[in-house]
Amino acid sequence: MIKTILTNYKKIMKFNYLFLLTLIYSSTGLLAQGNFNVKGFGSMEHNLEYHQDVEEFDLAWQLGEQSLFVTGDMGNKFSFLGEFSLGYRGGDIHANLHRARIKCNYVGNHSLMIGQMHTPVNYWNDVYYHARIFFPTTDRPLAFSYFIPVHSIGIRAQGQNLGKLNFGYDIQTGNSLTGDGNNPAVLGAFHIKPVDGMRIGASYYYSYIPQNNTMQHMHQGSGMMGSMYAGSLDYQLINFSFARFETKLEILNEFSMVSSRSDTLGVAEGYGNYLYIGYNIKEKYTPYILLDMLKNENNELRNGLVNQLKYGVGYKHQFNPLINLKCQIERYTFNPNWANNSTSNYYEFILQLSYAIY
Amino acid sequence: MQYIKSNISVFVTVAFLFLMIGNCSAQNYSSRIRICGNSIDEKSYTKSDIKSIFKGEKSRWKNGNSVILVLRFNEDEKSQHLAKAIYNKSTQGVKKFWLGLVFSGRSNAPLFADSNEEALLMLAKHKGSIGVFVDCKEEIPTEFKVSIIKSENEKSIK
Repeated sequence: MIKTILTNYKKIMKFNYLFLLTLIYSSTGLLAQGNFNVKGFGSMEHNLEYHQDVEEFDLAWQLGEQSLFVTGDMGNKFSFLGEFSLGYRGGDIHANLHRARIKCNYVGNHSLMIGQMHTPVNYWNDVYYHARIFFPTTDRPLAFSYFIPVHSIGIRAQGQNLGKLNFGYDIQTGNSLTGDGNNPAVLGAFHIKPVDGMRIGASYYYSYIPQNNTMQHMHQGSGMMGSMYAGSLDYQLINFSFARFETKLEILNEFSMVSSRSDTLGVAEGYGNYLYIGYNIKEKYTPYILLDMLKNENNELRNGLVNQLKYGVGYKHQFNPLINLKCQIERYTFNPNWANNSTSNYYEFILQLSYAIY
Repeated sequence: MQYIKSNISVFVTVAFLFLMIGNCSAQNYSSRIRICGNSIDEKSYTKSDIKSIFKGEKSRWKNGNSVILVLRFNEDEKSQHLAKAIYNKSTQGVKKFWLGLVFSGRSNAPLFADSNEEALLMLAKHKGSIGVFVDCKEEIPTEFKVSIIKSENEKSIK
């Protein structure tokens, strides 16, 4: 117990040290020529689950991730962006560095970035990151728990708002899905913004995983089969995104398709699709529906057999741009998978307060 | 007939004024909106160009300066007018737009000022800055003035 307390104390002190550094360097005296900003984001929620098979209710208050978001200019062409968070789970405090990147806007709308970034495989991961205040629903698509390489460390070439269709590109190489630098992953992502508030995009991601049992931070796809298959995998991920916001009718559709190849079992595929449709009333009140499904084949050796469906309705109340409340009722169906050969159904009611400290 | 001949200059002047007002309302947002820039590419832009610039779609001018947006913005009526004219949103909608865009890392935040005077000082201080003012009574240096031109057959900034 003493060891646990000491470990948590060290984590808190490490975070406080970073926070203190941030406050010190926010003084205009030290950075008179730069534009330095610190913002905070966080969420709190209350969950109520009802499991049909056991006819039991589970209630819980939860503290969501509390994030610190730091941006700063370093001269005319360079800028820094950092995002780190504290999360509280299972009695432990977890500190995570999500983004730390330096950007060089070398000409026009073209930039080069280096560091740890959110992999821009789809609209959600490129726009929302960890700030739930921006999420259209209370949680991320199911694909984020299995398919999506959320973070990557590497180098990225980015262009945006090019031509009449506001064409944008992100071409990136970095450590593999399991963090192996000897086998870099590659990503090509492209999008257009034909009208205000609309973005249509697609991406292709490839990572050769030499050892499937290497577990990084869980956000790098789940890698649930790591304990059962330690060999190599060719991992390919294709995404299509359609987003329509800034209008009365909001739509976000994220389609993911994964294809992984192993010498043992050949090629296996998985699919996921998240659909959100909301209707804005006076910019403040947004009722919405959501449908999220994910299916992975039995011979897929990264995540194994997965078969999940989630659908629900919700309502978002925006008090102002810095704070909103979401209420969401959803039904989960987990069909038999490699870890559990029975079907599991449950209902969940979530009340989530999300905020930004600006 | 004599009445017309003696007052023709008056008629021509009045007609010219009507034409000017008509042209101004076609070219400009409204007489309340003024666009100003310090060391930017052009002295005139179309309305669609202005909207694109103020939505953060342009990172750098051709002269190499970073695009820095200056907005005189709070919760008053002038800000509501600015939000509607430039962004076609409410003031809350503009704040939400910039909060999301800056968080995504795809654009730098504008410089926000509480008054036109403060905004002009910011403009003068930062090369590459472009600002929008509502009901600006302060004297604007000639080199900072930017005009709005018709969109048809005019070049785009992209």
